[in-house]
Amino acid sequence: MIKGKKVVSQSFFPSLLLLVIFFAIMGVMNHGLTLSFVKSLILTNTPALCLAIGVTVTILVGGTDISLGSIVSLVNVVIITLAGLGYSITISALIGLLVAVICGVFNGIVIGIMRVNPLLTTFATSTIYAGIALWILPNPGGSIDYAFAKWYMGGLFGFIMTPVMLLILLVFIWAGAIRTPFGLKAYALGCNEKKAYASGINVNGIRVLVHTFAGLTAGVAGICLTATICSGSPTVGATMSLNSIAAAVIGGVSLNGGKGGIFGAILGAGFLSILSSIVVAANFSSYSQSFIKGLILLIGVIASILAGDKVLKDKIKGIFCKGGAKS
Amino acid sequence: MSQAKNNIMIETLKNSYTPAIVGSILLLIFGRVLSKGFLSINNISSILMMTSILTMASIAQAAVIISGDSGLDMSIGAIMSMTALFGPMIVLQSEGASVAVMVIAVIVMGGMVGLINGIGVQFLKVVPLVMTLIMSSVVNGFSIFITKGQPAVSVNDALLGISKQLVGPVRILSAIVIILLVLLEVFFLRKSNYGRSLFLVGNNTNAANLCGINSKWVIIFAYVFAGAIAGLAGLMLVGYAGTAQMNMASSYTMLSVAAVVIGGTKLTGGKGTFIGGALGALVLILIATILQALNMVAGLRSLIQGVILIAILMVNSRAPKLRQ
Repeated sequence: MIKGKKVVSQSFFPSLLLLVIFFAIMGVMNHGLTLSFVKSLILTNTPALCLAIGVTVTILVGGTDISLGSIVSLVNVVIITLAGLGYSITISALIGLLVAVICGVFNGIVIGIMRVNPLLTTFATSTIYAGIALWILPNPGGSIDYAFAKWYMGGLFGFIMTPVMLLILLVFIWAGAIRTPFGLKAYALGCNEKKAYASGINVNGIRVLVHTFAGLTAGVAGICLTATICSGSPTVGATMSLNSIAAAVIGGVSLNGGKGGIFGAILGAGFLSILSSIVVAANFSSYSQSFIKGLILLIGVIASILAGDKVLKDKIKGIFCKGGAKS
Repeated sequence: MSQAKNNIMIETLKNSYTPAIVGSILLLIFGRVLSKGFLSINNISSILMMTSILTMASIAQAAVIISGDSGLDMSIGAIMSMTALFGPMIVLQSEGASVAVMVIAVIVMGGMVGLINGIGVQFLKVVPLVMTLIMSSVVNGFSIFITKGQPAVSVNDALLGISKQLVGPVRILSAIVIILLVLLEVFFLRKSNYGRSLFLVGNNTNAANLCGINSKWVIIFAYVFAGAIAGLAGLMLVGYAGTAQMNMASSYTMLSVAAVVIGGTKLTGGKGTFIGGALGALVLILIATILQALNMVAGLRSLIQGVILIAILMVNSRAPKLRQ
């Protein structure tokens, strides 16, 4: 009972509820969920989950990052181009990851040390990164050895799929970091920048570190995406960054910073991916799909924000308490 | 004497318009050096036309940003795309009348989206960034739903004619926008009751409430105003381009934010001008035109645009040091 209350009071609870409900709808529509369906859902949506983690981390310290989608495109283009030049898959993937981390560090330096507004900075850097991607590979194309896709779809220990491993790795890095004093400082920074500075927290350093980690998540997302599509496109990540912010908000992350966590964001991104596959599976005309998706997204965000509303919560609590007293 | 001069210098430097004015003069000189035709009447009039479209978008954005409470309208590009698609669909018997109806219709359409934005932000307490972002995907989806993905837009001659009409060296629409800009700045933002309450709400919502201002509706009206102006901008865009596509204006969202910020408005709200946004729009359009005149590859162009933008932001809008 106590445990149940704990879960309900968590900020990610609305997104968990949404995820479960829509998963059930999906199950009813498909007449039962098969393992292969869940597997393909995970395979295609790991990039979005990774980006949701990255964006959440930057939002937690009171910033934001809309350049992650462009970094994903850049990583995709870099990997495909390097593979086309004859480098091995491992080396090109690692170089792609390095590029993403460098992009993240650059974001962090401009935001943290130069003190420019995060939204504007990452807008400017997203044009830069997308520009570089378009410069390297003007037209979509290129290919990579199928072994890459096989590595991605295969399991490391037989049954755990690679994307899950990568996700768990990212979660572990952040969860580990949060348990150190760094985590406390990051949340303090998100709550109040001035007070955090006054208590001797290295504000700039944390900003740079956080954006570096966001770059890393974008790098992992880029690798996963490349392995899924096995081809290169300079605009492949363009729409992903804004979706990831929506995912974070559904997951109960406050855009003012200092509230929420990456688990909520993962659940939110999971909800978004199930939502798109439901809309596709429901046989709506293809023209109405994006409209319906947008409407459900709107309702989802409003619902998760209303659920986090204290006044409303107290009202509901009042109803439940009365009920409890009667019985 | 020199002291007074120095003071004037410092005053000029502190003026929030200065970076944008200096930047655009430098860019004009630079463009002239690079290509001889850059300062030709024809080119200047097309630069002014593009600037006036972006200016409309930045006026919309500025109103929302001034309203404070981390206000930001990410749906401007989507509203512009929508009105660019739907506006020309109105066909009446006389072309002049249909243009008049179009203007009213796009204002209403944009205002409706703005109203939903405002209600979402103020009553449902969704953060403006997210609310307007999701609204933009709803609006884009709506456009696809109605047009079935195949915009069959034939822009009527009256609308095309208006955007080609010249008054002296300038297109008439840019002249109208410049006049409208000054009128709005003076009579809407500075002198009107609403403008003053908008600034007060943006600065301090609690204080505004205590003064008897209904801050909720003030902010909601800012979003409605932004939507309506963005709707007009979409109609101007389709008149200028002569054809409409899906999401044709999506880049205007962030460009309008950048223009407003380059013009000296802070994203925290409570301060700002429409004229600054227009100057910022001029800088952005000049950069884009110069890069286009140089015949660069699209990717390199966008790379340089981003680098210039970052440089401007670093000079223009650094937050004060935390220690102060």
